Amino acid sequence: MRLQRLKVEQLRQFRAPFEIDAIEPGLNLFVGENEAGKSTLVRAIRAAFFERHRSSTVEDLRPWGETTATPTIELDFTVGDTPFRLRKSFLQRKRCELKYGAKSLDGEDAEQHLAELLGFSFAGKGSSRPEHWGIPGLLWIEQGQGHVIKSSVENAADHLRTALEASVGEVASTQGDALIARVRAERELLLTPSTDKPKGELKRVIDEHEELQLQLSGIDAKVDAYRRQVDQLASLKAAHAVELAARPWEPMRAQQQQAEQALAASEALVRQREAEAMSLVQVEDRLQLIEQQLAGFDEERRALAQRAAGLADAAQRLEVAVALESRRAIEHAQAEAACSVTAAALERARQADLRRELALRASDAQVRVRELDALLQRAGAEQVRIEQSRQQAAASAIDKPDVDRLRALAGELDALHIRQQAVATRIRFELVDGAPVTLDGQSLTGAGERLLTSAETLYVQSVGRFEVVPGGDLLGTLARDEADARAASEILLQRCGVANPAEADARLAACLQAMQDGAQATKTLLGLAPEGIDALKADRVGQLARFDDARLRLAALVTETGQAAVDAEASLAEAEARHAASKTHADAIGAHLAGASQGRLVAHEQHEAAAREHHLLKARIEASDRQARQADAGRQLLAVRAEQQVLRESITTKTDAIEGTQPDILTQTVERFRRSADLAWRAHQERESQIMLLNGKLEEAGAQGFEETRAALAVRLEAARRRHRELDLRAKALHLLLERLEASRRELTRQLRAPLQARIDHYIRLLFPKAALEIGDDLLPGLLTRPAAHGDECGAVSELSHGAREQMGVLTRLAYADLLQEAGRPTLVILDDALVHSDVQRLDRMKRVLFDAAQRHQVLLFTCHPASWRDMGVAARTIAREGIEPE
Amino acid sequence: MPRFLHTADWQIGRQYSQFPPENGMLLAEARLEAVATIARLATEHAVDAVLVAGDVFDAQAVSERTIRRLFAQCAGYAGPWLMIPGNHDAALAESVWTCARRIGAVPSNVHLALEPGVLDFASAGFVALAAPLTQRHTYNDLTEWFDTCTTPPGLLRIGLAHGCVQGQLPEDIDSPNPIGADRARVAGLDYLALGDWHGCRQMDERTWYSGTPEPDRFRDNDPGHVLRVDIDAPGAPPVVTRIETCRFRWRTIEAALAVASDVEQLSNVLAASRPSDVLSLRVTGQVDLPGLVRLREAMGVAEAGARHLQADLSALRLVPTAEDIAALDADGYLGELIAELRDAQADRIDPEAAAVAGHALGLLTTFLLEGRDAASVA
Repeated sequence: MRLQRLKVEQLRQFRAPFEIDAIEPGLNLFVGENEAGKSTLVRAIRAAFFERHRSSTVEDLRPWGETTATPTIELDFTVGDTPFRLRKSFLQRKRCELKYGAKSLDGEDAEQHLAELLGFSFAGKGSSRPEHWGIPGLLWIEQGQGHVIKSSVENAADHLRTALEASVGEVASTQGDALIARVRAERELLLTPSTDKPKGELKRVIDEHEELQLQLSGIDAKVDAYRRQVDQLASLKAAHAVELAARPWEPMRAQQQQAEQALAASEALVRQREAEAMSLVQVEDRLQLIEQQLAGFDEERRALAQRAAGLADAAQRLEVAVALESRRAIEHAQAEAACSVTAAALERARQADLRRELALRASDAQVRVRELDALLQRAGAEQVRIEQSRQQAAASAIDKPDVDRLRALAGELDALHIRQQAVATRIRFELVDGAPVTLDGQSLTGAGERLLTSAETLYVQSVGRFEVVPGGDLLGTLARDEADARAASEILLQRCGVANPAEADARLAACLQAMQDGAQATKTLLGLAPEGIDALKADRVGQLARFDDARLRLAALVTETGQAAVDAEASLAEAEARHAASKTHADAIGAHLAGASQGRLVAHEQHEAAAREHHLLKARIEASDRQARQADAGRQLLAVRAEQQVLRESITTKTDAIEGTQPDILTQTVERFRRSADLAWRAHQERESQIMLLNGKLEEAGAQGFEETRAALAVRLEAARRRHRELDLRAKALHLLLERLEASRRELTRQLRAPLQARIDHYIRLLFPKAALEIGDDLLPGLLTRPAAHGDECGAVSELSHGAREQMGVLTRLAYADLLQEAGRPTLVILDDALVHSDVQRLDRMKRVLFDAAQRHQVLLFTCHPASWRDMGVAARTIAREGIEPE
Repeated sequence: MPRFLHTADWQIGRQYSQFPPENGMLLAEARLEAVATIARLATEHAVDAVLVAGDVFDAQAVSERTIRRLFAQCAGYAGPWLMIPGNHDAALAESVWTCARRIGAVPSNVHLALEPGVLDFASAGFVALAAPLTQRHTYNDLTEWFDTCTTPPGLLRIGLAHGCVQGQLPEDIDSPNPIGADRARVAGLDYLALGDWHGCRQMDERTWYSGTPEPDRFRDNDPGHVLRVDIDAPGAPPVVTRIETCRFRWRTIEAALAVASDVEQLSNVLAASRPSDVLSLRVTGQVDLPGLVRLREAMGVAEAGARHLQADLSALRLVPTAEDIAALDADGYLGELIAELRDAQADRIDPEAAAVAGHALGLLTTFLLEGRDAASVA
């Protein structure tokens, strides 16, 4: 196949008609910048072949924004020697025209012719997809898809096989692919593709079959149960009839009655025995009573004798008690009299004692008053002394420091005076008497000496005046000190109220003496009246009162007793002891008397009672009918004893008889027969009701007619079984067919491998000398083996780098192209920006490969890297929207 | 001169699992219609009684509706119907008969002999000795007592029983419900009406199986009749006449194909089928592709013509000739596959695999034929 001319119009960026003419039979290089339109041209070629002209999914062909465009592609090409012209327009005006040789086809016929010619198919609906592209899809490498080889080969497989069968000399089946598709489709109606599980109708019929089987076994169980129940009913009815004839419960009832009668007789005996036993008890009671009566008579006689003895005894005891009582009375009177005497003596002793005490108390009080008087006097004197001392101390009161100071000042003054004397101007004189001499106004007489401490005037009458001035400053100082001391002394003297220091000393001594005196007097007073004088005075008043009281009471006592006071020799204590003794004695005697009286009363009572009892008993014993009653009781005793004997014997006889009948066993027998009869009867009844119940059940079940239902179900089951068998056979047959057909096709494919491998070998050596690329049964490149430094290097193509895979992809496609060409099929190789991932060295080798391929095939190479392909020996054509320019 | 209709084995309530439900229904319905036909015949022939020798019903637990419908069919004959239970409808403690009586479906002229005994029809000149089955299966001869049973002289002694006459029927070995071979003679019966055998069959001068009035299986033993029995007087030989009652004829067609004309012959047989036919076709042998196509056409015709056609071609082998294969455009590996399958279907070691291969071959040729037809139409 050789493409000669390509023209596009109103297609994407080519709004205006754009044409490439004179396309070479071998390699053609089209270069252009990005978006110049290279890919659009590739798309145009694809659309011209692959897309149905009626397709509505080719919007991408429309120039942007032109809603009424008619994208048109026109191609001139030759296949063999036949020239073809294809003109296809889309969207607005949908057309397809194909002229070849003298023939011309329109529309879908034209498209179909192309598809068969080139080996591709059309999409059922929508735009064409890779799986439809067939052989062109393999040879026309889309941008960036060079490495994708597996799916491309698979998509082309059917077409390849058809196209290549001639070359392998094997007759493929012309209908094979369609048939396989048909068988597969039919098989998939019944079996799942991958797991061979039943599906669709087959699955439905299997399920239905199982379901029906289940239902049938359900109803079979019912039928079975029904039949069993019918049989059960029959056997029940038979048994019932047999029993109705035999009536087994009746003899058992008869035996039960017989046993009951025997039991009744036995029970009558028991009752009789019980009555006799009761009579025996009564008889024995009576016997006991009679015996008690007789014993009572004897007892009474014994009691009377006892009572008589008791009475005599009581009388004697009464006598003794009376005597004792009278003796005790006499003794008591005597003791009372003695007690009165001692009482009087005691009274007197007490009077005397009181008087003595009162007199003593009065004299005591008198003495004490006197003592207190003296004490008070001394205390008063001491009091006066204290007062005097206090007054004296107050009068001579002086401050002791002042006195001390005064004394010091006097000393100081003396000292000053001495010093003045020492330094003073001494004037000694010896005057004639009467000499009118005055010193400082004072007349001097006699002989004497004066000490002048200050300027003095010495006047001598008629003589005149002499001013004597002591010389030196010391004298002045001394005079001043003296004056100061004197002044201070004066002040102190004034304050102390004394004329001179001596007086001050005296006063101080006097003061101290007075204070000492006061203290002493106070001490004395404290000794005399520790609680104060007032306390003494109060004591005195108290003593006076005691005295008066004692005197008064004594006076009264004296007047009252008068005379009696004289004979109070006996002491009070003695009198008291004596009286107490006599009183104790009298009391003891009194107690004895009371006891004796009580004893006499008791003895009397006892005597009375004994007499009464004795009398009563005696009267009873001596009653007139007693003899008769005693005799009667004796006779009764005999009769009752006889009766007792008879009863005892009768009871023994009956007991023996009862034991002979075995009433326990009889009761058991009755129960046994009763139960047996009941059981037999109840079983009979139960069977009857069971029969009725079963009848009812069966009627109900029979009314459902389920054997008929079962038959209907069996019909359906059989139909399902038949259908299942048929479908199963069909599924198996389809499975077998598919298996065989696919195996055949695989085998065919395998046979294609050898020639393909030969072409691959050719190309791979151009790329890697001595390398081998192995083609698998799937007609895809498998292992690549290359010589390397350390032996051969082997690896799967799918694991190579992107660039290497792309190279292998291109190689494989070219090998296929060779094969197709050998089979007489049209080949056109298009590479859109292929091999961009190859390095320079590898690209160089690929160029050899491509150049070699271009010797046999037309190759259209579109690239945006013109420099990379400059050495391909062909002129590059530049694609631009405006037009095409050779470079 | 008493006259009877003798029938048996109505098997009412029977259903046919081997047929598609719609055909099965129709066949079941035909059994009821047969009873109506018998009633009509009884009236037409003015018989004294209709003797029904057991298996009136196919099962015990049938629906009330079925019971009522059965007895309703009897309305066409007002004379006495004598019915005994057979093995399918034995007079058990609870049975289809007790049910029928309970629901009041049994007309007064239908005499049910649910216990062995003598039914007295002195006014009509006969007594009937009935030996009903009261168990599903019994291994005693229930007719033995006929020998010792005395009946008033001057009256015909008619026996009624259901079971298998010993030593004469093909399938009687160990079969239950035995009947002594010369019961009629020993018991001095004028006629012994039997049921159980579905074909019409005479056992001796006075002993007959009437067979079922409407066939129910593919077995060519002459079913589909009732017997008219005329007996002049006690001791006189009975005159027995067959009257056809069946609506459907059940036929088995078997053919072994070898040559092309065999197919042609079979086609003619099939083409002659009628609406009353219930056909079972079994074809063996081998056939080529055109023969198979022809056979299928003929089967299509028969299917349309007959009430029912059930075909078994499992033993028929398709053997395409070289021409066949060429005609199918089965070139390349398809041709090889056809040959492979053709051989595989003859595999005797694994019949299952052979069946699959045969079917696969059929499918393959069918697909190819369809493909060819589609191509030629296009």
